[in-house]
Amino acid sequence: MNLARIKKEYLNKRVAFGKSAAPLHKRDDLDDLAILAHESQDPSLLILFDVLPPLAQLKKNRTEVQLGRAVAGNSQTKK
Amino acid sequence: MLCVTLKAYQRACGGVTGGLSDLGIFDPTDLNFTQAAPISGVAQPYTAVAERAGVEGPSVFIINFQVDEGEWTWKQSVTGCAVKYEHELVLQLPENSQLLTTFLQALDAAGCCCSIGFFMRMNSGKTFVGGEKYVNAASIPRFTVKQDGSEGGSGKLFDDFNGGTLHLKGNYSRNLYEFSGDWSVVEGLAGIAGS
Repeated sequence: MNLARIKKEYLNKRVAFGKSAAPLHKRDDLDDLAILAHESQDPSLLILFDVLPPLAQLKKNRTEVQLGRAVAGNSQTKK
Repeated sequence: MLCVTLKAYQRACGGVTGGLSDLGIFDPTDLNFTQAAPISGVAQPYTAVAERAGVEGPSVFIINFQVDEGEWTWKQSVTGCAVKYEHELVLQLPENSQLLTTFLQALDAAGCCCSIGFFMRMNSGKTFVGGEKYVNAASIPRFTVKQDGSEGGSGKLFDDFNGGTLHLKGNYSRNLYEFSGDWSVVEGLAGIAGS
């Protein structure tokens, strides 16, 4: 679940990062883009966000998501 | 340390493959690259790239060069404190054709008016960017890349090479920055399905 939200008018914009150049409404890694926006202070990225949580909160959430995935992965292995 | 901040060059031990795998070119005016702020004075790679306002894709154009016939070279020189990096891409393009002629014409126009930007993926897996113009929504000092010195011909025999060898050249104040995204990102900007 992403904490960051994109403004309506930019949902069809393509920002290529990570593993995709798909339009923003098709991306499930918007928090990663939000982190890039914070770390670069690139005005063309900052303007895209309706909700841009603080960097620390984004990083904490990403860690928790990754840990959650790891736990889910372990439990699948046990089955 | 008292005069200059040096850096170690220590990479994880392992082999590294040579040669170019893929190349895509773009109009430097079309794309904006995102780069995180320097960490302890060290420049970071580009992490994202977006089409600028008014651009209707595709914004990247893939060049299918002959396998094992693509090479990037750079040469650093200095006069006093004035540093120069000479970058050159050499790519063998098969078949003299209308397609090749018009492709070269487009490059000539770009070199004259706007420069040529490029994404380059090496066989090692790393992707580099050259000729870029906009970073973090601001223009950077001019990095002009143009076609210069390309050559070609028909050959004489059946098994001679028929086509051209493209030379793209550009001088800049530094070596190229890496792009951290996957190559599928570049293909996506090129409008290649499935990316």
